[in-house]
Amino acid sequence: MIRAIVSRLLMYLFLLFVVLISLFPVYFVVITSFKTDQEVIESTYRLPQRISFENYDAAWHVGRFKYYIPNTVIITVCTLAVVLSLSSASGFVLAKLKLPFEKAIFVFFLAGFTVPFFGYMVSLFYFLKDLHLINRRLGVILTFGALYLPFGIFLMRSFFRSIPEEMLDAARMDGCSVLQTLVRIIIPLATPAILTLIVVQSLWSWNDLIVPLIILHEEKLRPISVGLTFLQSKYQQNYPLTAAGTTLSAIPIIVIYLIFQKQVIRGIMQGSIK
Amino acid sequence: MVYPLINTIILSFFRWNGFAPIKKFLGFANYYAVVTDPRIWNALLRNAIWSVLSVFPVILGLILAVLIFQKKLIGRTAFRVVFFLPHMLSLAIVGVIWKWIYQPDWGTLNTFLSGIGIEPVGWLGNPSTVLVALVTVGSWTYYGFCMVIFLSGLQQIPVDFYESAVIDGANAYHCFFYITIPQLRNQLTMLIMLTVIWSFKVFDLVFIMTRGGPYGTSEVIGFLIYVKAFQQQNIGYSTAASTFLFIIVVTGSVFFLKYRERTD
Repeated sequence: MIRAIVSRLLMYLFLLFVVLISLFPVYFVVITSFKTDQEVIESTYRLPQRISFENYDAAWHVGRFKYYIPNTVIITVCTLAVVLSLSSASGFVLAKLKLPFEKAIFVFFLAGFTVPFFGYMVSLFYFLKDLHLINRRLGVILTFGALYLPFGIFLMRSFFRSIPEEMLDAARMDGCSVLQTLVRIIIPLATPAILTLIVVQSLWSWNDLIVPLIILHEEKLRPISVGLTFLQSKYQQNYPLTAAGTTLSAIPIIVIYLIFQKQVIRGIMQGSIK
Repeated sequence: MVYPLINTIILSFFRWNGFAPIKKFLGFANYYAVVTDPRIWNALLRNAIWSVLSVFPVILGLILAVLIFQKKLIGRTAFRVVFFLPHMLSLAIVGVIWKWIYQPDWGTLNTFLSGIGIEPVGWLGNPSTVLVALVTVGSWTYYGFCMVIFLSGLQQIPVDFYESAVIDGANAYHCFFYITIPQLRNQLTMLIMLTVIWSFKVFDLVFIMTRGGPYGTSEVIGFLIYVKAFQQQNIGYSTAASTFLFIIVVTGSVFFLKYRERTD
């Protein structure tokens, strides 16, 4: 009996220890973001004495988050629009219509999953340069679109395949065109799959570093991920400023994660082949 | 996708600085330069070490999954949400925070260590600790991911397996090693494959935390390709290294899948 209690206690202690490890860095950066320089040195790990948003103000203006955040939002939203429209259309076609070379087309899309980005990063850069897409957000959006499309098609195709053929036949008999079937019947049914896609792709484009790093060289065009990296090397001694910037970049991710926990976890598991 | 990939291979046969109109054809000279360059092999070795050390978060993920899969545990969902949280944060954020934790003078780790009487270490500035320090950060973002993968596997194990094992007199350890582990083999193979693939794609953490330093002792292959192409304008070398990496990753995956098929 005592052994059972002790082992349960040890188990909870172990779990709490991992909780501490998982949360401490987040706690640390959030409290630092509210402190003054003085407080950081004197009471590094204690809660701030008062809540002031001065550091956030500084991060917004001095730290250039007034550019980074809108840029990230623009890039994320446009990427989503591209991926969502193209992947539901091609996922539908691949799942429901009879096409020649259907299998080959699908395998071709899937190949996009497996090729490592570093395998073609350099020539992608010169390809975009020839198209005058370097130093433009559109370049990042199109690159993300190309990179994330395979996963989108994969997800949407497997969803469309799960819709029973009879339902579509019934719609056809009632006089729906292909487009009408798509808009009236399939898209409403597809909401869970689309939600997974939206959540996962927003996270990917929000967090990606290397693509905007090589494409966008002007500070005003950079998204958060790149901006944050340079913020830290530029203001090495100003910990509260960097902490505020870091917290600002993390808030949307954490909020989305807490609200859409199930979709996020499922989507990330499905997308992990990336 | 296809055009850049083919162009990578084409560019790898030339000497080019990225903007001059003339490209000089070199044949396999870039490949020769890559294969004989110790920097490449050292970088690849670091990627390999990275993937070996990443076994620890996989094991931790397995332990956490088994623990929070117990029905009678209080706060299962809360534990799951918290453990997965580090995987959600972007590596830029993670890198910034952990750079402070490793900070030599007042960083959390050294403060903690000096509290228990250990000399402070310059974790990221010391060639002998930098790689382990980076992998630790990578692992911090990885165990939660491994945990949810294992949890999805655990849900598929029929309960009767355990019930009949208990009737036959098996204890918790028998159940774990003779039922849980074999039943999770799909998840295990998937994670091993992902760990290796991801370890060879590492870039963000190195770029943010050390820029390959000190003295190039944390250079990994992705970072090297980036530096050669965008800072030293040596396009031929960089694309040859890319093609080389591509061949390694693809061969690795193919061999792995073949091996899987044979053992199944």
